[in-house]
Amino acid sequence: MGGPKELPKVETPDWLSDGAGEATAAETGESGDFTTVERAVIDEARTILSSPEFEAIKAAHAAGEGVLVEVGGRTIQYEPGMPAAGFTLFEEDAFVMGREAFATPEEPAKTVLHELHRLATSQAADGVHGELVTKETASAFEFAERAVEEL
Amino acid sequence: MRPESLKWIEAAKVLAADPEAKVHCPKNEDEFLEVHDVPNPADPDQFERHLICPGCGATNILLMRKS
Repeated sequence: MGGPKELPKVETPDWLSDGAGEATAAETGESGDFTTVERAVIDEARTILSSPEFEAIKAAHAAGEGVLVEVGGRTIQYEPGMPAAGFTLFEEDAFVMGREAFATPEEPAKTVLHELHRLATSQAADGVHGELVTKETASAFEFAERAVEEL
Repeated sequence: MRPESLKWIEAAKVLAADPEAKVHCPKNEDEFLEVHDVPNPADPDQFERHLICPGCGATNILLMRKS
């Protein structure tokens, strides 16, 4: 019994260590602030957030109803009964938005960015845990904060 | 959504509300899911709740705020 557990410590691979694995110029976006993968995430988030399907999600939230949509091949479900902002479904390559995703005006965009970043970059679904996952969590939050300014 | 994904969503709803709940792994139903909360270093009110099966390793992640 007991609440959430501490993650066991594991060694961080070289590519994720400080100073290692930094994106090369070829991998960064036009401004150099984002990698190619991150640029693709921002582009997809922009497409999702401006889509009629996302308007359906917002309408479902306002009505307290669930809805399942697909935008550019990405499946997104809104679940009013989920007391969370988002939920990453790795094997489905999809994500769920909960009611907390609409807690503030910026939260929908940050949630979409966070979930897409997770799906694009995370190794958590491959059973990698510990320090690596802790870094991935920090990276996803940090990315969403930076990238929301790009939308 | 695949049936397994729908089971994950139901598991996430339960464990988002109560991290101590006993929920079977939606993938293989071999073990109860473990819950690991990983905070956002820049904002302690935000965290991820990692749902991990200790048996098969299946993992999915909730994005949450402290209520």
